[in-house]
Amino acid sequence: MRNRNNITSIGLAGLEGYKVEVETSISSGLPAFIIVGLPDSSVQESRERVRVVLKNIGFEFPLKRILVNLAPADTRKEGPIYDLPIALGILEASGQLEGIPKDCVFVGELSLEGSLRPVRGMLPIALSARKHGAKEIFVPKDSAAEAALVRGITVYPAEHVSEIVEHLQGINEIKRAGEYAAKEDEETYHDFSDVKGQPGMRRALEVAVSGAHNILLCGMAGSGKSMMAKRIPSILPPMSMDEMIESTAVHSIAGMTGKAAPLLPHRPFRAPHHSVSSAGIAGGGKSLRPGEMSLAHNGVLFLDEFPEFRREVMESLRQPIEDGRLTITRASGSVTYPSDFMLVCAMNPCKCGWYGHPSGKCECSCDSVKNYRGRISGPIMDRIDIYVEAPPVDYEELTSKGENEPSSAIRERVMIAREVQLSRQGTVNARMSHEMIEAHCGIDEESGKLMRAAYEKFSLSARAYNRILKVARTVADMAGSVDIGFAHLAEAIRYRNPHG
Amino acid sequence: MGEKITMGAWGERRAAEYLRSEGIKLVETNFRSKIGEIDIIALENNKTVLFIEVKTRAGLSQGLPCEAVNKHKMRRLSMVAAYYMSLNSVRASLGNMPEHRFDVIEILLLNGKAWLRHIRDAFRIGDAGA
Ligand SMILES: [Zn+2]
Repeated sequence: MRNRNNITSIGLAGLEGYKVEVETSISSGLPAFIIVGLPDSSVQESRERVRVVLKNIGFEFPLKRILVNLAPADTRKEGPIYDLPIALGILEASGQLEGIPKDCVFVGELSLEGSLRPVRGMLPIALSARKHGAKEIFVPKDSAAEAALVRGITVYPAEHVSEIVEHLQGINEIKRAGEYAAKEDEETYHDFSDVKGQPGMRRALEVAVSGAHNILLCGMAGSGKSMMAKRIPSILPPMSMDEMIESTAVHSIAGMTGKAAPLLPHRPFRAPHHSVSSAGIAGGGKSLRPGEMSLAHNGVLFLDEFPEFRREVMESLRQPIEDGRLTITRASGSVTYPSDFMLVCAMNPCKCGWYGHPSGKCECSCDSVKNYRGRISGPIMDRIDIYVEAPPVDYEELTSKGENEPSSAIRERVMIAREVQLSRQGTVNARMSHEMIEAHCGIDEESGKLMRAAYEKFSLSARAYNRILKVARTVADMAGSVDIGFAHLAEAIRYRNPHG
Repeated sequence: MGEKITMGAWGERRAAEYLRSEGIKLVETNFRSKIGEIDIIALENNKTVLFIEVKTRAGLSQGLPCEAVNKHKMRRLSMVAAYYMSLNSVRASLGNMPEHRFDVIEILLLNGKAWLRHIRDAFRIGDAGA
């Protein structure tokens, strides 16, 4: 009997995993079962589960002093995922099980019958296990497909703790999980060909998606702005494998992955209602779960009726728009989630929604219109690259002729424009650094004059100035032009909000 | 029954009878100390020291008797047991016992009958919160 042993598990702080050593020591004395090492209440509850399970599966729960230490002691241990390593640690330390290999990781919550429940955050846990040099990971069967997304680590799925015990005893080997094969994106989207007219808004949306720029669509009820925004997924370029893994990891922590096909097949499109809370959009709660902005990572965050959102919700957009990630700090700790999304907002021109309609239906006062628009603060407006107003559709319909272009055609152009950006600077235009702007967004003298005029007319901030250059770069890329021309810059300037 | 005894004392006597019938050796009854008391201390198979709390109740209006062993009571029993094991006289006779266990015997008086239940390994130190 070894009396003491170590079993490796993984804890999560945001998307970052850290190694947790489950150290069990058994000594004689009054019968005790104590878990130390900053366990939260859900870890404390595992004492009861482990005790019942060991008896239920025919092992002895030793009448000794059992001390379990979760190291490192300075990090808070959360959740029931240590049930499995604690149970195995007791079996080994009491001489009832031998030969747990060292480079293995164990995670899983136990039911009282000993079956293993799925684990929230399985993908980031498996990624972290590999990073820490583990060769094998034992996981609940329902989480196995997600763990198997990680290459270079052997995944052993088990429905019941007995299967793992028998595997370690060499009685019955568990069948390894196969590597996960990504499925084709089979989702059928609403198509842009269903939307009538609005060539201006169409063009602006294509520019926005091509360079991943933030966009605000302003139009009265029935102008089709929401309809168009909801068709954005149909023209987004596909995700790379790395992007899929990243986005899936965030969804995994939020407990939002499917057990059969865990990998997120397409870019997320998150559309929270305007009543969403700060915690809902930014993340939080006791276990610091990711919010809508992080769930939209690598995809689109669509905020319809933008002025109706809470002030603090709007302001919380600023950090992720600048940094592409978001740090949540609560008393229980602080975590950072990737939150690199394209912001798409839609708004009515006024509270009633009819401002500017030829019928004169709008009854809002001048002050009320100003007030409504004023709900979007200057700093937020500053971060919107493209502002586009939609004329009433009945007027527009008269001038539009023939069939509307299908999404597939737009998507193809978007993919080419993105390819140009990625091969030039390794990122989308919206994410260009100062150095990249310096290197790739030069303008000629004539364009310089135009820029100065705009600068004075709109009293632009330095941030807005750079954002105009980035949009101009995208317009040029869409045109297949190496240099930013006068027309490209003029179009980018046109997208600045004249009211903002 | 000539003398008038309390229900609790009656239950402890009843529990002692039961333990003897099971071949469990009584070491001490009503062990008292400044920090608290233990109803019965016994020895099973010359191997396991038992610290036994006896709970007797008439009727179910206050729940099952064993439910009266709350976290506070667990902590108290752990402390008294530790104190008991530290006594020199005890160490001389029980010091090398490999195992120790906290048991509860509940006795329920219902419809003129006594129902006895022996809960082995009723709790571990730590159950009441580390
Ligand atoms: Zn109005």
